[in-house]
Amino acid sequence: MGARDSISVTTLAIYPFLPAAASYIKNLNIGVTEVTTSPVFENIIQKSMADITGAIHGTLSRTQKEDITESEMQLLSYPITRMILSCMDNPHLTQRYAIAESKEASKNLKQEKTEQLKKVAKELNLHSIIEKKQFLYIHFAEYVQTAHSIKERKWKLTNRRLDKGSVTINNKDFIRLLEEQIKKRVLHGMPLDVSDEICTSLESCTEQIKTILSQTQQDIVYDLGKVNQEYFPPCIAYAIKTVQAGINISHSTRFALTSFLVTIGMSVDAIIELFASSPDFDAEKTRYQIEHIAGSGGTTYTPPSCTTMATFGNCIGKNRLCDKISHPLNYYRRKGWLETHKHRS
Amino acid sequence: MNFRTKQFVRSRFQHYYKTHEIYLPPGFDVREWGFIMFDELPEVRMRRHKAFGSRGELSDYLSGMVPSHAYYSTAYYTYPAARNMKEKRWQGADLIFDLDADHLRKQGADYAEMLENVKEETIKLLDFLTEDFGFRSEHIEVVFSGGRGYHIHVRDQSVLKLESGARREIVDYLTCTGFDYKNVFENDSTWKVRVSEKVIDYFYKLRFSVDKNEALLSLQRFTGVGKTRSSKLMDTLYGFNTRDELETYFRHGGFGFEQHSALNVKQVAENITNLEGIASLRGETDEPVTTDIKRLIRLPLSLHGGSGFTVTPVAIDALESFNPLVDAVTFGSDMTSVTGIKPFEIQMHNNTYTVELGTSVLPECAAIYAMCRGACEYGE
Repeated sequence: MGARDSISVTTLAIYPFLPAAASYIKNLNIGVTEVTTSPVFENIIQKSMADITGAIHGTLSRTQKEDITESEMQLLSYPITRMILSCMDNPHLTQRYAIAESKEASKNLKQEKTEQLKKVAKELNLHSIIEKKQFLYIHFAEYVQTAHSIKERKWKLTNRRLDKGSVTINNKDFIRLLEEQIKKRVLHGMPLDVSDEICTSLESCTEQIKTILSQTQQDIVYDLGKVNQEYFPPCIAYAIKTVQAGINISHSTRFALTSFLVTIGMSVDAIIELFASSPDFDAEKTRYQIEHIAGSGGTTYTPPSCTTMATFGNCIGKNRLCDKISHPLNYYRRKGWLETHKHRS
Repeated sequence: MNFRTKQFVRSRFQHYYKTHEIYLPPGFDVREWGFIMFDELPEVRMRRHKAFGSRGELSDYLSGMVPSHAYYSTAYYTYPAARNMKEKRWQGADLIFDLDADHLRKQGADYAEMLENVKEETIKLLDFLTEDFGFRSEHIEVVFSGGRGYHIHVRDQSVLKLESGARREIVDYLTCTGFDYKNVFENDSTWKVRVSEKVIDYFYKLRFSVDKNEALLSLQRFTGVGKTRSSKLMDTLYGFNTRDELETYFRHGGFGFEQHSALNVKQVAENITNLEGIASLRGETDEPVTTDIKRLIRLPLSLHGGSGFTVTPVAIDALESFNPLVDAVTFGSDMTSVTGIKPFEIQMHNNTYTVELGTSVLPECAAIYAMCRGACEYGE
C-alpha cells in the first residue's frame, strides 16, 4: 500500500480491527510471548479490559491520540481483546463487544471525509464505491452482502435505486454499511483457537470479566425454561394443529417445527409422539430426522427466522407480537417473559 | 417403465451420448456431479459426490453408464467428491434462477401454452438482470430445462461468493418482495418509480378514458371511500387537463394520498399493480433454488429422463423464437409401436400425437416422450 493510500497509525488506533492495523502490528515484529512478558503488557491488558468492560456497560470509547507509542499500544490491545474473548467463549459477550466496537467506529467515521471513508471501505472489502455529484454508488453484490443482515426495511434491495448494477446510497448510508462490515469483521473467525497456556495466563482477566458480567446479569443467557405450549408463535401453533389433524405438512414446515421444538428443549420422544398422527408417519424415519436436526450428525440446526418462514409460505396467523420480533424463538421467549411479568404485577 | 421400455429408452439415450458433443460448465473439475440411473427407476436415487477431471472422463461416463438424468453442482468446491458438505469446502456458486411453470401465477391451457408463458417470464427476468443488475450477456446462460421451464445461470465474478441471505435479497428484488409503499411518489427506489408510474396511469385513465360512473365505482373498491369521497376525488381529477398536471399534483402530495386515510396508498398501489401490470412485470423465480448455494442443476445438452428432451442452452437473442417442442426434440421420426397405459397427448414439430389405450404407432420422438412420462410402454 503506497503512502498516499495508507492510514496513519494514530488513525488506525481508533479502527484497530482493520487489516491495515493487523499488518502494522506484524511489521513491529513482536510475538505473542513477547507481548505477554513485556513491561508494558500490563498497560495493554488494561486497555483490553477497559474495552471489554466498556462494551458491557455501553461506554466503549476511542479517541485519536497524537502519541505514536500510545497508538501502538492501542493497536496491540485489539488482538489481546480478541484472545480474552475467545478464552471466555461467550458468544453473547463477543456479539456485544462487536456491536460496541462498530457503533463507536461509526461515531468516529462520521467525522471523516469521504476520501478517508473510501480508504476504510477498501480495508473492509467494499471496493466498488464511486462518488458522483452528491451521490455515492456501490455495486449491488457488495451492497447485499453487507446490508442483508440489517433488518430495517429501507435496507432491502427492493427499496433501493438499482441501475446497471449500481445501488445509490448517501453518506449516512455509507457509514451505516461500514458499521455493519465492521461488526462482521470483528466477529469473523471468533472464537479464535487460543492455546490453553495463553488462556491460563489471561485467567485473572477472564475471571474479572465474569464477575462484572454476573453483577450486570442482564438477559445475556437465555433460558427457555420448561416448554410451554401457550407461548408458541402462531406459525408453530398452526403447524402443530395441522400435524395433529393428520394433514401432511411440507418439508420446510416440518423442518421449522422440529428445529423449533428441539431448540426449546422438547425431547425427541415427545416430538415423535406429536408427529405420530401424520399420515405418512414412519417412526424410524421420524426419529432419524429429528435426531439429525437435533445434532446427531454434528451440525445443530437453528429454526428458520420469520423472513425465511414467510419466504416458504409458513408465516401463518401473524399477530401484533410478531411485528416486534424477527424470529419465532424470540416470540416464545418474549411471550414467556410477558406472561410471567403479568402474573407478578 | 417396464424392463423392456427401460432397455429401449436407455439404448436411444446411449446412442445420443455416443454421437453428440458433451457440454462442460466452466470449472467442471471443481464441481460435484450427480446422476440418476435407469435401472433404479422409478426409485429416484441420486448417485452424487462424483467428480471428473477431464472431458473424456465425463464423456465416457455418460455414454457408458447412460444416466436418465445428469446434474452438476452450481457450487465450486475444493474437494468436490468429498462425502459431506463440510469436507467439500465451498468456494462459491453460480447464481441460479429456476423458472418453473408450476410456480407461475398464470397457468396455461396445455403444455405448449405453459412453456410459452414461462418463456415470457424468462425474457422479463433477463431484462431485470441486464438492466437493473447490469449483468453482461456473456455471463448469463439460459437453458431450457427439458421439463417445464428454464434455468438461468449467472457466472459474473461478483456474485459467486454471495452467501444465501444476500442471494435472497436479489430474489426479493426481482419479485418486489418487502416493497415499502410509503412515499411511493418520491422515486427514491427503482420499484417506487415503476409502481408510482402505474398508480398515475390508473388515475389518468379514471380522468381521461373511463366514464364517470365507472370511475366512481372503481374508487369505491377501496376501504373508506364511499359515494361522497369518491365524487370529491373525481372532482379533483377533473380539474386537470393534461397528464403532466395530474402527475405533478400527485408527486407533490396531492390527495393527501400518503399522509392520511383519504385513500390508503398501499391498498391502492397493491390493487392497481396486481390488476394492471406490475405483477406481470415482476420476476418469477423459484426462490429456494436461488438461495440454495449447494444445489445440483441439470447438465446442459444432457437428456431429461422425464421427457427425452435435450436440456438446451438458448442464446438470449434467440429466446424469443425458441420453441422447445421443436428445438429441444432430439429423437427422430422412425415409427415406433407403443402400448398405451393412459390416454396422452403431446405436440411436437407442430403436430399433435395421441396415445390411446392399446397399441399406437408414433414417431420415435413422441414415443420416447410418452414412455418417459409413463404414458405407455415400448412395443405391442
